Amino acid sequence: MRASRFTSIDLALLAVAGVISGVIFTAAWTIYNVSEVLAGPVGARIISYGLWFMGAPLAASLLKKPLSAFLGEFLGALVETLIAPAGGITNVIYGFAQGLASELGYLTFRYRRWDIISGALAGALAGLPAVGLDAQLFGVVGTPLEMSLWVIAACVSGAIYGAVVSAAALSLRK
Amino acid sequence: MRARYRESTLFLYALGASLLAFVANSVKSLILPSLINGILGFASGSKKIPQKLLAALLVLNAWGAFINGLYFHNVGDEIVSIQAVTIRSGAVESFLILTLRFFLIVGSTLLMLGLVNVRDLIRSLERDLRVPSGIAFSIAYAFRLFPLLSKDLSEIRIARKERGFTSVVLSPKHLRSILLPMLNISYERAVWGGISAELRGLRLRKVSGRKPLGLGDVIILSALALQWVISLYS
Repeated sequence: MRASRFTSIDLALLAVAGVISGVIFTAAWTIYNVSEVLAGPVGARIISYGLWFMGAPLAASLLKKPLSAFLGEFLGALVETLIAPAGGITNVIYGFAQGLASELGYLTFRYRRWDIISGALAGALAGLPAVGLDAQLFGVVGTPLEMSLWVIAACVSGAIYGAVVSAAALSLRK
Repeated sequence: MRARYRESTLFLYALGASLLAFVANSVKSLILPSLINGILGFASGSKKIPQKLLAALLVLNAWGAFINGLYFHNVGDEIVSIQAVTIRSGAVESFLILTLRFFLIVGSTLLMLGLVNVRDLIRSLERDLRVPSGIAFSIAYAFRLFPLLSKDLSEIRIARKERGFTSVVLSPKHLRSILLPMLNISYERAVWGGISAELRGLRLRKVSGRKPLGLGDVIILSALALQWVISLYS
């Protein structure tokens, strides 16, 4: 396991991940609302949910340190709350839960893999708390089959966007 | 005399009010806290956040709540029938609950944002709630980067247009082609920003002592507690 102490450069990179994620999270609201009308609940989750899970794989791929996934997602949610309060402070609650779930993705590999696969897994795992919190807050509770489809759609979307953002971060010229 | 309050108390207030939205699940229990926070929040938030954005938020939320009610809760007595769409009592109740939750969550957040400066809020989170100073630095640095990244993004969009590509993100592939140059520029900036912060003694910086609780804090926290009591017992 690599040293978990964050240097000033790590903290600055975390800020970069936070602000980029915050901007993407804010844009995701419009994408979600439009796609829900055009593609229904499952389509909307596939198209847009992964955008809200990108903070964790982005930060983790840049920093490659334990807790970076959690902090990236949480910071992105905090920035989203402070720049455009579409979801209010619940964004922070979502960010906290999704960040913890994504962190599990990297923990699964004992913090040894920071590639596209671990990024996709981190993105996919964030789908579980997102659907759970949707059920609690927005009353989005369907039949067991519907719920399973939503979880799968959120996880697939998370995996796709997680892989994309990890690939982008890993191909940086450093 | 002006009642003094910590900026972090308003953060706790917004968090507490948002948690209430998770717990309360009927129109009766949500109506009073939602109206109070909605009216106060939109009045104070409109000073700092563009009114067009607030109007767009309201429209998007109403649309989302309507679609949500129609998809998931369209049961019970028939209220109105428009061509092939029949709206039932369950959909209307769900729409009302979601709209009230929106007012409670967004209203309390706008109230916080309207009354505090983001920089003061970050400082207060570090000083009064003991948020780790590294995290506080990251949040503060993110806000410093925000205008720079907005400028980078608009330049990338211009470059894409000149090359005949769309400036709007339509697929994960498009997203990657926008993300990559932004990350490349930001990475370089963050490395030198981090070195600069280290050289200026970020690690040696001491966090000032907690600000004592003022009358304003007591009023804010009492208002939050009162809303919880009213909501839970109604």
